[in-house]
Amino acid sequence: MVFFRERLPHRIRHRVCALAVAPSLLVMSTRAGGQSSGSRAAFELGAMGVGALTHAAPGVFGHNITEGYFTQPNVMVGARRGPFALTGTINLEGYTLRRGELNAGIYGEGYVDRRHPHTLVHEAMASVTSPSRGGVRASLSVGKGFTPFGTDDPMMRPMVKYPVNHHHAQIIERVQTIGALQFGDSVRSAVLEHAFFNGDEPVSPFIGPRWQRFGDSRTTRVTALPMRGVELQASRAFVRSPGITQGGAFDHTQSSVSLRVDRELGQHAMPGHDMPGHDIPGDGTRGDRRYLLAEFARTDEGFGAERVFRFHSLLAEGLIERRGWGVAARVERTDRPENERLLDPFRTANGHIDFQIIGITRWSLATLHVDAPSASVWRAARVRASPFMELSGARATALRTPAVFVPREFYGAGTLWSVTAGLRVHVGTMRHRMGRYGVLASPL
Amino acid sequence: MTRNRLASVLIAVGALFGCSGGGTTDLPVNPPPTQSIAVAVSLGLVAAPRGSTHGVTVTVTRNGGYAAAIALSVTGLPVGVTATFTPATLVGTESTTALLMFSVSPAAVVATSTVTINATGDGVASTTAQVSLNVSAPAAITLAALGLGSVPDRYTSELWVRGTTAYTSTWGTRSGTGRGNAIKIWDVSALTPTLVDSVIVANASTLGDVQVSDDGSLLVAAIESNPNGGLAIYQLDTPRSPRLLVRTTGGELQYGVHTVEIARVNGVLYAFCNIDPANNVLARLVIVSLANPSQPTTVASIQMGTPYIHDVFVRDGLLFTGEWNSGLGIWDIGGGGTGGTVAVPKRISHVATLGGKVHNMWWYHDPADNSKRYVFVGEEGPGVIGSSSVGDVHVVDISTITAPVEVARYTVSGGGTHNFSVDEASGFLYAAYYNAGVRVLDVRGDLGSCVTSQRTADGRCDLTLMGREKAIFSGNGSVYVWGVHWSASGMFASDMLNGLWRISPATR
Repeated sequence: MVFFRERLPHRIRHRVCALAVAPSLLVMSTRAGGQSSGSRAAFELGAMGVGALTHAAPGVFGHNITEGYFTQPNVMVGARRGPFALTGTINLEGYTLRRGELNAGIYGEGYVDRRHPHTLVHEAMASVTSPSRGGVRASLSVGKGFTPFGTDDPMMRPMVKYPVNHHHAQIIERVQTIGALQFGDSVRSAVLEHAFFNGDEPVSPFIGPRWQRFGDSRTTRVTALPMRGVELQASRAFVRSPGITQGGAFDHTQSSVSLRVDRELGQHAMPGHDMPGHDIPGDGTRGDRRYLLAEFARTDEGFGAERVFRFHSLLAEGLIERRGWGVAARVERTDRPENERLLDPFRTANGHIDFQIIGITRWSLATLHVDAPSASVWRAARVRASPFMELSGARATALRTPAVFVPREFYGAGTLWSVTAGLRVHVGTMRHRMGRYGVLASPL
Repeated sequence: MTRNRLASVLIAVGALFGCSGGGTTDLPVNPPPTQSIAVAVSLGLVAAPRGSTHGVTVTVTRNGGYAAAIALSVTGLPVGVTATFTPATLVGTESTTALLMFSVSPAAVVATSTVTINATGDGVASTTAQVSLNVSAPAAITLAALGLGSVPDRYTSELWVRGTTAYTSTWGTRSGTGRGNAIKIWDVSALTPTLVDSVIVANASTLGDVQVSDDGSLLVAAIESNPNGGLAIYQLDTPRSPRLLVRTTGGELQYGVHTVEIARVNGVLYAFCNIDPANNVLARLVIVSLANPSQPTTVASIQMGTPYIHDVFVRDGLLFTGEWNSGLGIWDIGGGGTGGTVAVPKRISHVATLGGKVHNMWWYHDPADNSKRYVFVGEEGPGVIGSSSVGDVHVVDISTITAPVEVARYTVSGGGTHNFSVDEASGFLYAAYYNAGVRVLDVRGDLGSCVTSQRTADGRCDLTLMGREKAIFSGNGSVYVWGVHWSASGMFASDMLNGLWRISPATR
């Protein structure tokens, strides 16, 4: 139903959405994380959200800004029966985050220095996976969701604020078909994925993809899992005109390489559960955990294979969890195209007007994040909350001079500080990781 | 007797009987000396820019006592070059010289030719010498900056000049208070433009074109950016105090008026608005009647351009459309003879210029020969505004308007073209060239005929190789020139980084 929202007027869309979401929340509040009686059928249901207060100094034009958000509100559904699986995530940021969330350096989908809201249907994928024969499994997945490119959605990683490289390192919310082959066993394997999808980026939380563009873009990802908890990934994508929905904007050729290590230790270890504050067994405690991600991403913009602009990103982040406390850090250096700001200085047009940009800015950021142990805040509804605090410093340097975007003039300072405090809230069963379908899906 | 002895005896007998000289003398006699001439030149290579004269000394040497007159001539001169000898005939007994003057016309073909100098005299064989004559374009002169009206607080975009008043628009965001919502008004009666006032356009963050109507009564500015796009229309009762008539909101203009041209067709003033594409909204040309400028009325709305319709040029009832990767369109809106009107334009023809990205046009009317043969097309390639640009000037021959053809181009390494202004009386095209400043091209005469060495690999004539680059303006060395405007008041350039320049105009 939600796929066809682009045809509906706004007011009706909102009502339809509310009708769709309300029963889900009701179900969650009564019983979440159920499992069917059949040995080969399972489902899970969960919801999450983050209440946060952010102070940015400065936010823009030398002005300090303090804002509150309910960010990352998601309702996640998973179901499996035999070889068939369904994965769905409803993202409600279109209702809670239309102005975007202060996030120095972030850009994309018409937002800049504010993280854009995601689309209502964040993912809705159906998969069929073959049994292993001779150490080989195959799967076919169709629907809307994360393309097999790059690394995990930042929403499922330790920090609350997004890295600048979100649009270099992930290609999400596309209508796609993914074919995948897995070679190996559950401990050591290699996975090859290839997908066709629509190149147009989302333009609004409530506007669907441009269906006729399905298949104009493609991506291939190779993932090696040499041992439990260690993952090497390399991927490359060609994205046709992401900036102008009807086509004609620059094409993107994107590359990503990453190393991910995720080790859970102790008696409550839950391999694959990523999010601090969410990976909570029934007794509310957590196992100790070590997590590391190092990634390189690159986006070339141009006409077909002809490159005009190139943007690099290097990112490393880590997390140590012990007895419910988590300390995470991230360092990042990412190049960003600058576009002319609209009347709202946190907004730009989609795509580069006339194929021009107004500068290339290199963002260097360091972020420190601390999670406190989670606590039950509504036992009957199995709602738990985990306080956190996050501090970030960002410096922006113009790579092309002279330019008509001078970071120090625009922001009114050389370093942009941001502090965020809040609560992560979750109910029900949390998704292990987002954006992994078929042979790469985590077990329910 | 040996053979040698017999020969000696015979020689001796011969000598005894006087067989060698007829009996009158016994001295040996030499044959008369052979007469000849030789020619040499003082230079083997002559570098001769167009419009110049160059002298070469020609030396003729006589041999064998030759004393007749020797005539000098020359062959192999390139088109546009003449040669004269002083004197043309050499008389003397030994070595004599003449001065050979090459006169290179301004229209001479730029090329290297081998010129042969011939020396001929009665009774002797003609002789030649050769000179390589390299006709080149004169180095483009640098136009002087006469004055700068500095704009440090905002980025400057387009300009318009009428009389002693200039208007510049502003663009983008330079700081919290330095946004692209101001039209600056200048007194340009002196060499240095003086800012006298400015008006702020409500709910605007970027202004594009600014233009004064042909009768001087209206000032119109294009307002970018969905959903606040539109037009701002001012009454110019007092040219330096514009009075706002209307700032449009909503409608198709709200997606952003990237450029606007106001032009009169059959006595009615219209605004030709080029609308940005938006999410799921295609680019389009919207034509607005300004018959009642307080209540502009849309008379036509036509989807065109891939992905943009960037600019138009209107003249004599023809509409030229810059349809980006779709090329250049030519439409009849009342003067094309196909029945087209402003409300219902009829497409006459279309041409895809090489490289696409058709940005702007100028249909050139040359008063020197009353020709209306060429349309100059600006190509705007991708760049980083403020620091880099790319894109050529393309010359389209519309002699057959139903079948226009691109015949020439002008390219600048490291720079890309933007808006044009043409001094038609002088035959100079001024092209804003962003970080490459301003370039002035001599566009008078035939731009589509050139020799092989002046052609690009794809067969077009190259205006630089043809010596058509007349002058350059580079300001203070760090400029990003958006627009140029030539008028009887002078030559001006709007520079995004610095403000409004007054420039010394090019002359013939």
